[in-house]
Amino acid sequence: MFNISFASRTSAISAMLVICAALSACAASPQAGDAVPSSASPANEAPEPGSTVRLLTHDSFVLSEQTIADFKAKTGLDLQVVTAGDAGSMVAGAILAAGQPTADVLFGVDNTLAARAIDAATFEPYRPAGLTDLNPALLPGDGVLTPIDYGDVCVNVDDGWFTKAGIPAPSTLADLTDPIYRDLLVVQDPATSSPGLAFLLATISRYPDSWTDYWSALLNNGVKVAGSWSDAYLGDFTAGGGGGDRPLVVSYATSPPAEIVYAEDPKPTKPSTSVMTDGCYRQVEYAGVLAGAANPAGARAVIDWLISPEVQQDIPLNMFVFPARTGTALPQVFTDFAAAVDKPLQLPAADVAQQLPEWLDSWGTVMGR
Amino acid sequence: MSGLRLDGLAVGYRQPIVTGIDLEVCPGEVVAILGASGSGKSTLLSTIAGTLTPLAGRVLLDEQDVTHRPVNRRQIGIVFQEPLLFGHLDVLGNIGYGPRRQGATRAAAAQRARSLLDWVGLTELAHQPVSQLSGGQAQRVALARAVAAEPKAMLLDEPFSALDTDLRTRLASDVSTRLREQGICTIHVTHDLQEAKAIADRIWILQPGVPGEPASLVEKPQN
Amino acid sequence: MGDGDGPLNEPRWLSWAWTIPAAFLLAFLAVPAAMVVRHALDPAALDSLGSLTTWRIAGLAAAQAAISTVLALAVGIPLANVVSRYRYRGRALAQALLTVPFVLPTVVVALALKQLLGGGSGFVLVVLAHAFVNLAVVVRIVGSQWVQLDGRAEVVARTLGASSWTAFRTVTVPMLRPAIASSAAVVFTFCFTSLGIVLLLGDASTRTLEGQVLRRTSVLLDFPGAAALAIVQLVIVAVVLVLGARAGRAAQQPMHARGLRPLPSRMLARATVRATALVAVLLVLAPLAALVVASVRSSNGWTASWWTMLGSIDAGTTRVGSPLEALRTSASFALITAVIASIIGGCAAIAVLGHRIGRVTAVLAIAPLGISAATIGLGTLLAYGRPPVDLRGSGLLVPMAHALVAVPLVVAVAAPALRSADPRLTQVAATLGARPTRAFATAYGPILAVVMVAAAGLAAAVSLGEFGAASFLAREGSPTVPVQIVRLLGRPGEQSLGSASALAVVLTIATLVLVLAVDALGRRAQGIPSWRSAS
Repeated sequence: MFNISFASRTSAISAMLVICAALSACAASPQAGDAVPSSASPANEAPEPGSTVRLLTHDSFVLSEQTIADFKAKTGLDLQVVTAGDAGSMVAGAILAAGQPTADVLFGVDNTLAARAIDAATFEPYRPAGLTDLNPALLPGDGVLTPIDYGDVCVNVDDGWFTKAGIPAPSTLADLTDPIYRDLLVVQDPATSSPGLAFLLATISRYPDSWTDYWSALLNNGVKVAGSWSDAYLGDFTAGGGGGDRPLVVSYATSPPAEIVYAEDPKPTKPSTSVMTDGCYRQVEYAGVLAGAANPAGARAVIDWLISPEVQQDIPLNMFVFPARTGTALPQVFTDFAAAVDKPLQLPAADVAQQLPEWLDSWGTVMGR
Repeated sequence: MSGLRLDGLAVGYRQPIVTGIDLEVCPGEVVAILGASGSGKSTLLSTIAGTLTPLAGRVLLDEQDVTHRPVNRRQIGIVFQEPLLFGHLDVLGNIGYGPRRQGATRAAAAQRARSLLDWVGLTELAHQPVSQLSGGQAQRVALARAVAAEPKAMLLDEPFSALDTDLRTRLASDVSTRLREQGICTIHVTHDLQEAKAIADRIWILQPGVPGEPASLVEKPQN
Repeated sequence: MGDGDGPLNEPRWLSWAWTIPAAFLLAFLAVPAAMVVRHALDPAALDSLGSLTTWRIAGLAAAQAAISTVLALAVGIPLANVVSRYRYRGRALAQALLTVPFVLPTVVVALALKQLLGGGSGFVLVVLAHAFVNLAVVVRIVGSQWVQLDGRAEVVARTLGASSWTAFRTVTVPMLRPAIASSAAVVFTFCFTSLGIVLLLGDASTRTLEGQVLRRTSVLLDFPGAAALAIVQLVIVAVVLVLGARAGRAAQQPMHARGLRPLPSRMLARATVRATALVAVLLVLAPLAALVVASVRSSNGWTASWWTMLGSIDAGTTRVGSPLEALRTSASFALITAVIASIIGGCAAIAVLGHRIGRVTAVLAIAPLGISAATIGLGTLLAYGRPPVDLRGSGLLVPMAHALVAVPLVVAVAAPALRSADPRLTQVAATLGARPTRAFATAYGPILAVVMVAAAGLAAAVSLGEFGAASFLAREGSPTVPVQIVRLLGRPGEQSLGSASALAVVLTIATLVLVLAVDALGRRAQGIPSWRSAS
């Protein structure tokens, strides 16, 4: 009996000791913001071979195993991919840990969040040599982040539905308020969904002074607001497989090729959906070296690798976005079915960072949410 | 005749445990049923109380067939071995429970409860939480609670077997006297012959049958 | 004796049992929360506290949670009666089935309900989903106390003139009050802080503070505001849980642990029990059937494709982990979680029997229910996600977070059961010569064994279905099954819905097997203690 009580006390005490050690360790570690200037090493210094470099990214990051293996073969570095939820949560975590990062390099911060992350000193500057090979329209010009890929958020159309109904599919944002498209559109709540937010930004970009009127018109025309992309596309969209009743949905310009790739065998020769190329908002995904990285040279090597032709070619079919590098060959299913958007809408990152809370509030007021 | 009458009763779950029960209890009479544990005493009481349907026969109260009358409309009270007091009510609340169910106002129920508390000699315990009662006190409250509902018949299922012998004998004869006073037909189940002799006007015995066969209830000769 | 401030026959370690849960809470709750608050401490936080929207949302969430709780109780209490008290064939299966909705990922539940009810969103759907998911909480907590109540108390009430409904209302319900109050508090908390279901099925009328915390964290990057809302939510939840615990402190009730009883003898009552059990089974099976159908349907009709490709989805990419691998990850997390949660939660429940400080700890152990998953996830990452204390490599971070979620449930199941054991048995054993620890084991051991096995199973099941923390906490290697399901749902093409449904069916079956096994163990354990056999 005595043994039991003794053992239990000992373990309690040792547990307390572990906690105390952890506490003092935390207390001893420097505050965020007192960023350790680990970028003392010059930008052209080669990474230490055999060292580990940690890439922090979101759940949707996917590349071929072969591509990852090539990185190790070429650089001699050991790449560890660490995922941390969706892009928003991942970037939020990185900002909170600014200066004391949990990884060396981050991929997946987009143009709606980039300015906030940069303001919070999350990244340290890096300009890769290959920057000139990238689509100049995508460059943020801040000397901190490097564009890796881009995608357009557009309204997707169930062509079969419109053929059957005998009405032409809408072709512009303005069309969506036309009563003949009443009760046909489903969008996502911009407060909870990334494409939903992009679509809101597209309307603000198109109608800078009257976007709330536009949304009132959408509301009067029976727009439905879903909580998430899955909910809207897989649930409410007529062509999403969930038996929905809305033939228009906010999704991506690359959703039609994905419909083919992820169809049941034998694959259909042509997707049943298409993209409305007007009113698309462009999302650019960047990578950056995290301030205070343990392996900054390794981090820079990862960014160089991400914009290399090999990775850029591997991106479309894995993440269903377009590569940032000009002249990268696209897979056939992209050239055939992905929409090429000529005039994507965009807003300056600084404006987004500053005005987003206000925009979301106004949107909520208009939509009664 | 008035009183409780069991007419050719057979009790059990699916299979009969006791059959051929014919028994009459007059108002103010106490009948003891003697039997070893597991002999079917509790099953018999459950059937009389109405929580179990008889396999055959009838239960009559004042010549009215109550065999299929719901438990709450039979006017048959029961006190178990454990007092089973309601822990969320105080002593008065427990005793007043029956009058409240029969439509008495809160005040009237409390008044009736007080008089029954006097009756069992626990006047000073009115607002005691029931968890603080001793075993004997709790059982007397349980009895007062049962009587407060003005039953015509009362079933006592070894109500004092958890108490020590001295208290048991005293309480048992005390209780039967009080139930006689009230003119209630009482069936008192016990496995203790001495107790049965001390309290009962008549004693019946649950006679086990041959193994695999149901038991029967026979009257003990009066000597 | 009851207050137990150091009676002589109590084992000395009892007054120290609180240190283990307290250390765990300090390490994995207080420190992470403090890390977030430290990063978020800012005068700007006051803005969101003063905002009318904040309080409007708190009010909406409270109304939604109250209605969901009432519905869960209204359906759950009759089901608890039927699946916990009577002996009949299929009872164990019905009980296990009822636990399944609670441990399924919310995304699966939402998907299944939508497929069953044909889409739509809004207040009614959210309330239905919350009641559906939390039925298990009511059935388990209320059922485990109900089976120990002496049914003869109700018989006594009926002989005193109460109809069966009145007897239930005036006798059984008050006796069950501790369990009802504690399950209501837990369900209310879950619904008040709900995120997944609200995101997937809700609209403007069902917003929660938790949703606002997430929105401020990951969309607005407004950490002070997020921290302030998280603290408001925490305070409200703390008040509810304390009220629940106070209402749960019951008077001694007649408890004679008579075990399962046979079906009632009256035809009508018998049929009612059977019909209710059937309703319970259908209630759970209908949405699950919708899932199964979705897993074998494509635009071409019936298909096995989604099942045959389960092992090879995304092979050759860094989207690591075939669904089978994910199942292995989930299973190992579930096992670790079960062990950690039952040790921590068990100690917290035992601590209730000891010192006042132990009772305080047990109440605090319920706190994780009220802290947003985002806060915990972020804080854990900040505290233990990098040197000098880097737990990511050890693979313990996710199970620790899961244990944090499961501990309150373990306490909720174990504490009332332990309190219902008769403390006088300790003295009885002591007078028979048992040393304090032995005496304690005699009094509480049997019930502790039963309750701990049940609680460990519940914890494992929670871990199997948990999504938020698992997706939020950075880690390498294969994701858990719920994370995998959400990833599949995040892309177009009919493979998405089909494969996600197939995987959800696998998860459901795994959960069902686990819960059935736990129940079977629990029943075996129930046979051991001799004191349970009532006269």
